[in-house]
Amino acid sequence: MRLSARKSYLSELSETARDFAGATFKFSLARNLAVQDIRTRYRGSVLGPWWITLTMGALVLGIGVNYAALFHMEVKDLLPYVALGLVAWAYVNGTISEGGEAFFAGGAIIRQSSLPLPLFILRCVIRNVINLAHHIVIVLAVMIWFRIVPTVGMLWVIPGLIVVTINLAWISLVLATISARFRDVPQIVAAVLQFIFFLTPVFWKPTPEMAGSIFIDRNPFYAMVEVIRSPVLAGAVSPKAMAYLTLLAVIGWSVAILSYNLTRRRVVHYL
Amino acid sequence: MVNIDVSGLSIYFPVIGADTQSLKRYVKQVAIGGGLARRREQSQHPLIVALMDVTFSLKPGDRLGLIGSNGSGKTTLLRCLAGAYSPDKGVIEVNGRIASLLDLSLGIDPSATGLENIRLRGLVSGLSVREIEAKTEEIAEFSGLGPFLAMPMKAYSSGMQARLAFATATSVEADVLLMDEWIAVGDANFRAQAHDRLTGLVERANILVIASHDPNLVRSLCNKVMRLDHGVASEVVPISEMDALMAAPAS
Repeated sequence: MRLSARKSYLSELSETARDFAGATFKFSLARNLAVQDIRTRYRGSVLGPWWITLTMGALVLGIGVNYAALFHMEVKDLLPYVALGLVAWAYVNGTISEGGEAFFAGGAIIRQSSLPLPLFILRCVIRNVINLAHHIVIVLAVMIWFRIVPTVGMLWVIPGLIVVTINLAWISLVLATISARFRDVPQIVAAVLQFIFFLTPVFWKPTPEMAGSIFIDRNPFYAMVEVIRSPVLAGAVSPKAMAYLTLLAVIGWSVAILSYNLTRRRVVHYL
Repeated sequence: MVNIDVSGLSIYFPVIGADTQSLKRYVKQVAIGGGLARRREQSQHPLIVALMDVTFSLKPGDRLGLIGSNGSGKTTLLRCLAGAYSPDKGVIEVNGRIASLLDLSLGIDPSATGLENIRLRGLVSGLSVREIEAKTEEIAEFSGLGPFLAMPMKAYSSGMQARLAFATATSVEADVLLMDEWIAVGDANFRAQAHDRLTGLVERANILVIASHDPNLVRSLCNKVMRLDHGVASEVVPISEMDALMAAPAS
């Protein structure tokens, strides 16, 4: 191990690269910590992590059935849409809001070991992927109940999930750093996400007049929900949404890496 | 080749959330702690100079005792050697497998069972799952907790918690061993076993760095000693010169 003082922004980039490589190399440690997080959260409960599924199931049923009546829609039109929307949203929302706490939660470890910071982002993302996996049961139940026949087009959900995850990771990294320094940020993020949840067509369908509105077309959260939802429901993915998210991932990661390069030495002092 | 090479190491801590003005009033009176640096701009956070231009090197066989008052930088130096802090100035180079016994509770989750905690702590200290599985039986046996290992750690008495934490933390093999004070845990019986285990660990390590307030402990374990005052380090001197080092006025 060789650590030296910061020489220049450019020389620091090799340290940054080493941090990311180190985190990837320690994937199994991140996975084990993530699994332990979930165990701790549901310890002592009979259903354990399946509470994630049950809570989500109740929400899907409640919104799917009630809003169908309110909006004068068929349950079979709305409920699958709501189910996929909420499952996708839970993944986006969970990763971003927990991402803000990622460095803080790992503070004790960060302050006395050489484990690289991105490892704690990885831990947070893996934890949320595990939560998402528990939600697949709901998606399957909805598909069986409403007789949605699996098609090859559904496989588009895989690239969809990948591009969403890549985006969530950079957002988490940026928020984790800012939140470590400014402790109000996690609360602000929670409030903003709540607002975006209602603004984004997650559990309501946009009307034709809304097409072209920036809240629909340029809303990255809508794109993230859609690239997960529409492959399952329609067997296709919107190329526009995929292209938008890919672009966002490139820009977002560039910003995230460049700012991580500036802050990586300071984070430990904030905790 | 196992070695430690530290040159010109400085570490600054920004103090976030502290009132600069109120802190400044005390600057002249403090007898302990790192040096407080004055920053050019008033609006910035006060800066603690935790370590200032520290230079030393250690080779296999060296057992270094760090002495100095509270806040002199001993733990900070240990954490630097463990890789937690990046230098603000200078270079830290440590070759060899590092084990740090700085905080027994590292990675411990009170709601998890004893066995889970063995696993967690092991993972955080850098062991692979396979290595941990190979050691679990030995750790369990040494802790003497038997059936309690399957219970959540919060059901343990504090002595039992300390036993498990100690058994796990000391199960690592390392070239470079970093210790913050000698760890003494458990009842009289366990204490004797713990002492033997720790002594064995120290003997097997190629290099030991231990921070302690107990001169007798440093004399019994170390062959070299270094004193820290407000983040400024003395020369590394042979243990025979420890009395002179301790008697010297603070720099």
